[in-house]
Amino acid sequence: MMNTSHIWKIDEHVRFRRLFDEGVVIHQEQAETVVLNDTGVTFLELCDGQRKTGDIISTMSETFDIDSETLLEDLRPFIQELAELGIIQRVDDTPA
Amino acid sequence: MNLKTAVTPESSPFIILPGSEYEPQLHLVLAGRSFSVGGIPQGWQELLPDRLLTCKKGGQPRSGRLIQIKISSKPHLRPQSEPHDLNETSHLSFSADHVSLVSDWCEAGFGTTKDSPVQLLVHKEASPWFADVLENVLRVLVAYDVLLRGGVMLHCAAIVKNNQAVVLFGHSGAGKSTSSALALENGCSVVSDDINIIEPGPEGWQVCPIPFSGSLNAVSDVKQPVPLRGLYHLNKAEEDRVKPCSAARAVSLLAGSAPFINQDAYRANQLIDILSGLSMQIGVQDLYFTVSDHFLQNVF
Repeated sequence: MMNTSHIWKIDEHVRFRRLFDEGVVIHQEQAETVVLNDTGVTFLELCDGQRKTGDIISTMSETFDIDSETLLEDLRPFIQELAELGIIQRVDDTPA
Repeated sequence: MNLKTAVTPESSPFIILPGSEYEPQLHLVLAGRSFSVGGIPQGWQELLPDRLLTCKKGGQPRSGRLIQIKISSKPHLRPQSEPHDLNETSHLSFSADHVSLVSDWCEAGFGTTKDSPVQLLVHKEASPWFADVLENVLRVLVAYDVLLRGGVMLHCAAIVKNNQAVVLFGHSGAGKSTSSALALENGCSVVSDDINIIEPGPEGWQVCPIPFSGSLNAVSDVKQPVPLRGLYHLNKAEEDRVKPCSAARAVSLLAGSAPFINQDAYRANQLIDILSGLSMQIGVQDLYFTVSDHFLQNVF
């Protein structure tokens, strides 16, 4: 279960690039590619292995002019999916 | 000091004493790139397919890659089981300036800079599979050399009409061979229905023929690069139509069809740069087709 104190970093085998209002993610180890929308690629850009998820949500809620709670609920399954795809990894020691 | 005797393939692959063990026996020109192969055991060269041997050139090339074969009896090179599908058993590993390939019967390593020599270790009993071994290594080398030229090797079909090429790509079973066969029946030419080179040419992006395996390569009459008109991602559907892809989707789809390079983290940004430029200049569209020749009206 994801919580706001989790800290995520992008997997070392992943490269991504913003292209206009979308992003392309390439996972080399799996030779797989994923396309993200503006919200998704913004989240990934902020996953620097240092910011807590809650801090990222706060930054994004200002950028997209949306309240934090709604954004968190929207992002929760997306973050879970990125983790399952091996695109991001947790680097904090908070219990899952 | 006699400079020539001090030279080895590692330090300068194209200053080689005639008759030495390093003298290449086979010079191939593939998509404008020169590959010289040395160390081929007697009788093995004749096992190569005609489509590769038709790319054979005489004389000593002035540049290109030297592939130095060494024959080995090391047991780990022998495959553990039949059959020997080298595409399935190939494993690549990467560093900042080097690529290693391990597959049934062989190991290879090469630098990623222009004209770096290639070391190819082949098991002494691999002669029945030598053509596959060499072609497998050449495929990887061509993919890297094309990248150096700002292009990309794509797993795709390329069809030609009125000296304009259209590239059709997609996952296995999406219809590359079927659409190529339909194009051929309708008077188009097929460059290849399996692997093609897409790279910048003097007049813009172009498709270059490459003699790797493909079910329609043998009937191809395309011998020179052809200007690229469009890139289409194949989707089987109940109606024929096209739909433009966004830039990110285009790059994502193309990257999925760029073998070898799409596994290499060290070349990922270069690949994305090239594919971004290609997709923005040529455009990528989803092609929904009904497995009939109607799709030709949408691409030409």
